[in-house]
Amino acid sequence: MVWEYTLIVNTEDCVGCNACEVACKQEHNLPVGPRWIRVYPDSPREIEGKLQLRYIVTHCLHCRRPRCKDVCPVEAIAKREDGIVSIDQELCIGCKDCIEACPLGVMQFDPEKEVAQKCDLCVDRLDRGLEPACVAACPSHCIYFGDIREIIEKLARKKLLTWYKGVIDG
Amino acid sequence: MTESGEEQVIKSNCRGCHGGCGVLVYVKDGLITRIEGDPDFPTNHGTMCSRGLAFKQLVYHPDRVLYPLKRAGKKGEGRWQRTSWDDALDTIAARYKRIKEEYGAEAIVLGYGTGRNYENFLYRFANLLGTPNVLTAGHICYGPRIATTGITCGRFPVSDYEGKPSCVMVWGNNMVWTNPDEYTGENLCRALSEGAKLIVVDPRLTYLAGRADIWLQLRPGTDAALALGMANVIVNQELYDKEFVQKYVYGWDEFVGRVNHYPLDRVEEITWVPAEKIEEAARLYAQTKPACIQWGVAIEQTINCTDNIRILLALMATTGNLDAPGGNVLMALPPIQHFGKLAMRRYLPLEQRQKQLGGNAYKAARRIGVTTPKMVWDAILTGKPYPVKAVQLHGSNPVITRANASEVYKALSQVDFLVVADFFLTPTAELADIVLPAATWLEMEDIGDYWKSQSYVYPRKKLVQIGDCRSDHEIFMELGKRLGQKQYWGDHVEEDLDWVLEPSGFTWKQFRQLDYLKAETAYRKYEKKGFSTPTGKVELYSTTMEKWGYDPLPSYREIPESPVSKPEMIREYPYILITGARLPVFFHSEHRMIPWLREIHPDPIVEIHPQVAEKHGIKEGDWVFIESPRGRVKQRAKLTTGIDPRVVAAQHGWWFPEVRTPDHGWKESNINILTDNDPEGYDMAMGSTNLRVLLCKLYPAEEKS
Repeated sequence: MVWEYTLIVNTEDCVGCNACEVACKQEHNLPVGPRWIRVYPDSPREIEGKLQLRYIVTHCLHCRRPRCKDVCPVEAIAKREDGIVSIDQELCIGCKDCIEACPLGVMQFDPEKEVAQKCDLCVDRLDRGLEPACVAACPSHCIYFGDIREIIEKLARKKLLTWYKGVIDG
Repeated sequence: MTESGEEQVIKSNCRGCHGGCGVLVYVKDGLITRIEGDPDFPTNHGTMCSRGLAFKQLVYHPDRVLYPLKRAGKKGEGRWQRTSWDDALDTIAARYKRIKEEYGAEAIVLGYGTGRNYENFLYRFANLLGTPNVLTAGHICYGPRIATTGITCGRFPVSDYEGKPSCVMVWGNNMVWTNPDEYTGENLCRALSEGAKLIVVDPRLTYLAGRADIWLQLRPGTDAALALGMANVIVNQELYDKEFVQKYVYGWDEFVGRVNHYPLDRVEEITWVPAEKIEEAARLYAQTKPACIQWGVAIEQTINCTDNIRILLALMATTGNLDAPGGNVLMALPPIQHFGKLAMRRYLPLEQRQKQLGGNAYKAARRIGVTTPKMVWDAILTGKPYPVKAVQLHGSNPVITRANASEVYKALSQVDFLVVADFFLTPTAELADIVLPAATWLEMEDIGDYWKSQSYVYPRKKLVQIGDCRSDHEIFMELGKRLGQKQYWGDHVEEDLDWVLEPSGFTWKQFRQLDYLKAETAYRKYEKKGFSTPTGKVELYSTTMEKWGYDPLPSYREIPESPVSKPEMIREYPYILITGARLPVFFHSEHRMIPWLREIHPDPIVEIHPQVAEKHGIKEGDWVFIESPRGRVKQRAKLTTGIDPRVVAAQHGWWFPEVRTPDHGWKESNINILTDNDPEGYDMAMGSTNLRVLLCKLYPAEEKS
């Protein structure tokens, strides 16, 4: 079976602490501007009969059929065999077509390098046998990393929001 | 210090807040490249908060103070002259000698903010100098719990996450965002994912409040009434641990008598919380074993400070959760010198101790050597009861973080001699005569200890040298040596640390190689030796409070500036303002200059109910004025149904490092312009300032200048 990496946040458990955001910034040495993973509060909503404050976490889901890849005029975006959608920073011309194409609005732009950027699942860390920086830092352990089928199976028991699956499948 | 060449990974311990998270620091060619959680460390299990993860940006920040600075213009003018450590310390020492001769050592006030494990050394310096005046946040933060639990059950009870609580009652705390000084939020998250029940007491909807099995959304400042109501349920429904009460509680009958003054219908009227919800919460807490109470500073920053603590402690004790696994445990002292010895308190002569500002008025505060800030401001401004001529602050920004900021600013502008040790030129440091460049935890050899409440001690290591920055410990040591304290300090910091560690049997060099030391946790120690109180029992009727002339039983008092106490104010100031809710990316007034953190939270935010916003023509994101009888500031509106329409919640700690004038916009959004420090609102035993409840009005503002 081919390994198909992705990252999924169980927002039921997210406490909104922003640790993942800063872990990501540090790992990739990002300037102010691009936010590969982002956490912000939802409006209070009634969930299961009580008022709750949940957080929305946005990041690249490494779609099976990535639209960003389809629209890239210079083929800087690739879907790797292990599932990771990667951007070749040398090839990117900063046209921002992928930013428009992304259905989740998670494609970022580095104003200093003038290139498109997004979550790369910390490929450098994976090579060193580590989990992605956001996963390691998260105090509520709500960020799941690994093969998509495994995560979905694990999270099905946790009433994972179904839209995740839909989006990933494109 | 590390060698150049390849990347090294060194274990240390973060101190971005009070500290306590084990970290891995990556260093390459003498530069810190990355800071991550240490997966092997028992309190954070590899996780980190945003502040710790961004700490590299603080260490190498271009605005850091790198050299000692002397004032070169008028006070607060922002003109500085670089000087040497010798010159700075000689100048300070000469000045202190003169002040001591002319006015007495009590005219010199030492101070720190949240405290970063150098309190031992600050107190040592103060005690040896002969001043009883140490200005901290101890009257409103953690200090009250140390002092009050000390007289009630002998020691601070810590929520025992390692003992696996089945129910957690979070009271005025948001530990998933901030470190409550013991276990980090990760431990609560773990307990919840393992199915622990959750009760949350908070006037605002937080993540935890929303997740809770029961959320008690109380009227701000009525915690004591709510807790007494819960005690009423526990007593009258006989949910208490009868054996424990019989054997280990002092003053049960009197306590029951007091609790019966708080029937649930009365408590509902006071707190706005429906009686049946209070009953449900009391039953859940009392009947789920083990259960712990995770309390926070919200209970301390009010007129009911010591009583809030006493009643919550009574809930722990009567339900049999005190010192029980998974309950609230009196952790063993870590194997290092105890505080009194480190601080050399016995060297402060009795006649000097008795001069402590506010000491006679606030006896619980005197017990832990904490001075109420207003007494210092008054002494500076009026010379009464005696003049204060010098203030030396370490890691403290009272212009932003103490009540009635306008008075604080005035006092610190007028004091003859102000020394500030910090990382940056804060609005407080800008008023100084001398600024000392403080080292961060990555630039020092240091021992961290969680206020010695949680049994752990751990080493921090010097990995880099930034400018001429020095650790606060070293500053006190070097200054002390210039003031006749030579024999009480080591020749160098490491020698001092050897002495700190003496009871452990390790030298600093040996300890430095360890991840941590922990005294073993023992439960129900009272079965063998009782509790360390005058009666040997948990004193629900406090013989110490009685001796001090206070009510020996806890009660609820109404906050002086509330809709109930001052109904005549409501017409002009219709809303209850709460301040000080914690943020995930800043620690009090810190971190506003850190790019990765400020990007996440660029502006101060005031939470307003949508109905209220509509009434005043305020839209989401608008700048609004919040005004109290003390003044007004601007923050940006966030509309939320997670707050009662009668309540408004503003953030604290705001100043603007990007404003390059020396005031750094301290008046713009600083909520302490609005808070009051009138002693009328203080807790009688602690002198705690009321920061949590005041009255305000709201109206739209134009764009923030």
